[in-house]
Amino acid sequence: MTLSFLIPLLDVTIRAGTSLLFAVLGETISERAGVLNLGIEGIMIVGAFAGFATAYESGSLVLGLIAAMIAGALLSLIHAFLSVTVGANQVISGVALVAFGTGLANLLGRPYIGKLGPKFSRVAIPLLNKIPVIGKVLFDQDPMIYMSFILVIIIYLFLYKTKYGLQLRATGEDPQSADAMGVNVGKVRYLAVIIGGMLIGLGGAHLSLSYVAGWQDSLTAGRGWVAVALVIFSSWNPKRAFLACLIFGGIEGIQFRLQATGIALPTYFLRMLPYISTILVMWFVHLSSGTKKKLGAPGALNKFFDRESQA
Amino acid sequence: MNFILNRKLRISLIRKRESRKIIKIITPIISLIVAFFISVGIFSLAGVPPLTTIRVVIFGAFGSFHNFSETIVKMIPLLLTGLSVTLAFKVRFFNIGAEGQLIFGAITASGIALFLPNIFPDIPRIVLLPILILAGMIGGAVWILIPVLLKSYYRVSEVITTIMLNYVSILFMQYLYDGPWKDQHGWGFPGSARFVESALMPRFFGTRIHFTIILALGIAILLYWLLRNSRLGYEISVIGLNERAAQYAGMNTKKKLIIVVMLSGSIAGLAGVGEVSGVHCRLFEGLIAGYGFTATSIAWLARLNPLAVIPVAFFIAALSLGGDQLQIQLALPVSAVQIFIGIILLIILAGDFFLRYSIKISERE
Repeated sequence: MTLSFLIPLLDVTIRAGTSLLFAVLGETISERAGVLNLGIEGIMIVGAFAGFATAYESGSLVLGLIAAMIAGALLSLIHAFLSVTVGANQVISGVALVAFGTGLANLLGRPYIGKLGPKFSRVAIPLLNKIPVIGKVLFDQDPMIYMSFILVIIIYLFLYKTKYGLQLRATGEDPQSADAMGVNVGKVRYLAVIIGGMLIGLGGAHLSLSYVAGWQDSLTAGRGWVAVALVIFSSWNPKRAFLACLIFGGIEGIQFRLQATGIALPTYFLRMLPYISTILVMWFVHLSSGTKKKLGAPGALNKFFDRESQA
Repeated sequence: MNFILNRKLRISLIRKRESRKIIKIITPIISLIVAFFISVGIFSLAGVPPLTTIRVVIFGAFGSFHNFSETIVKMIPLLLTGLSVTLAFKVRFFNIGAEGQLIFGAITASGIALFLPNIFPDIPRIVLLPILILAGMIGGAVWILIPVLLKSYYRVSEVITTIMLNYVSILFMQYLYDGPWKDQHGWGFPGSARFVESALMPRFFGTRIHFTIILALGIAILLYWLLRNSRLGYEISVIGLNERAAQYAGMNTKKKLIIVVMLSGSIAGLAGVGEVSGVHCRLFEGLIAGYGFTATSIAWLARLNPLAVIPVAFFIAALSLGGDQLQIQLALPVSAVQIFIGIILLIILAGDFFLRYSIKISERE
């Protein structure tokens, strides 16, 4: 009885958390290099649209994913140019991307509303899926979910165990020293923002090609902003990002289960849960740490590095 | 910074010491024009011929006296939210939540408008309206209180909290007009019941231009004066430049920040009052219009100058109204206008690049 309640709940938890996980991982890479990309919500929705439209027209899910990554890369390139080359206000640039991305995706997506396109189906991993509860929840999911698990490990190893990861973190922590070490700060930041954008785009694609499986107006519904908060919640650490996204996937799961049970609480209040939880989580994080440094924020996050003025 | 073009030529970017004032005025205007044409290009991708877009937008905004008056109607909330964001940005509080504060202000005002006349049936307009305005301004200020307290006491990013509260306020409003404040005769219309006559703003010249415009223009002038000539204005600019320095100088920056930001929220709340009491005559779905982003873009285009917010809000209003016409006539989604808002911001940010650098093409030796 309890298992029949628990397994669907955990299943939704994983599935709802995946798009967030891609986005949080992408943003972590970008912020670790020192660039605050608040455009997630816009990049995600354009990724979701590009992924769905391409998969719908071509019938190929792989092409859909590629399109989502390209779309994510292109939008992030704008942000990279403005924040790395121009030294513009990164907050405003991010907000601009959200407005632009949301408008663009909703405009171009209009003909696709309600269309049934291809979607990722579950692929059980033999043997592992026989483990009680965990097997069903973790190893009988769609391929993008497995991809997200692997990415957590790869990005963690990259950031903490490789030379390039060290350079990237140095760029975000102390660009002057990184520059003195011979690291090309501008190049690293561009690459980090663009690769981060590709992952964020994939997060959008998981919504349109698996979790929601279709296109609708304003599909992302604020998930991008939740992701921004989760990067802080996870202290810019990919391993913790996984846990953070599980918690938020769980909140969405609980919301669905409660709606299904028909409890008298109006759905409007249930739908507020992720947004209110985000605010509460941000509060708890800062409550328990205090200063920016202790949070684990990269030292030069949201700071323009101007090589010419260093001389 | 150098880019080598080919073997002979080199493009160098030279940093300028000071940019001339005229360039500072011209860049936003050029940004607006460029953004308009890029947007037209994007609409043509969605199947709308460029000339049709231009014609519909221009006619929609200026084509007749009625359309022009509607542009002014649209300008009122944009002017107020633009001023609200300007004030908050002055103390480096990135309030992206003008939409939430507008909606919450509209909710508190609607609460008064819907229920106070039940208790006092003969309450005259001259008494009811000031109560509405006050209620809306308090509503907007209260809605921004959580983000500003979290920011000043716990350093929580206001960008995220104000945006999260936008979503919460929208859901709360929908709950109200779908539930307890449902219009019994509305046949599923997404709004509350209509307000009584005494809760409606006076309108001018037989149009929908309402009394709030006078308040909005007054606030623009007041803010301009306040920021330039008053002690508070001086303190605001010091906090905006360097909060720590302000603290060392003995200012209670926390208290000042909270006061200034709550003022910002109350101005956005007033915009909400204007919308429900001056335009829609009820709490209504149409309040959801992406004001948060639009207001940010207006404040940035106006370079945080309250008087400059007036013409900028007017132009953005004209374009939004044109955008509404596109939506009605050509079935484009409401959020299409956001494309334009986003592009303007991106271009003006990129434009700063040319404010700071001049391009020099030289021959390589």
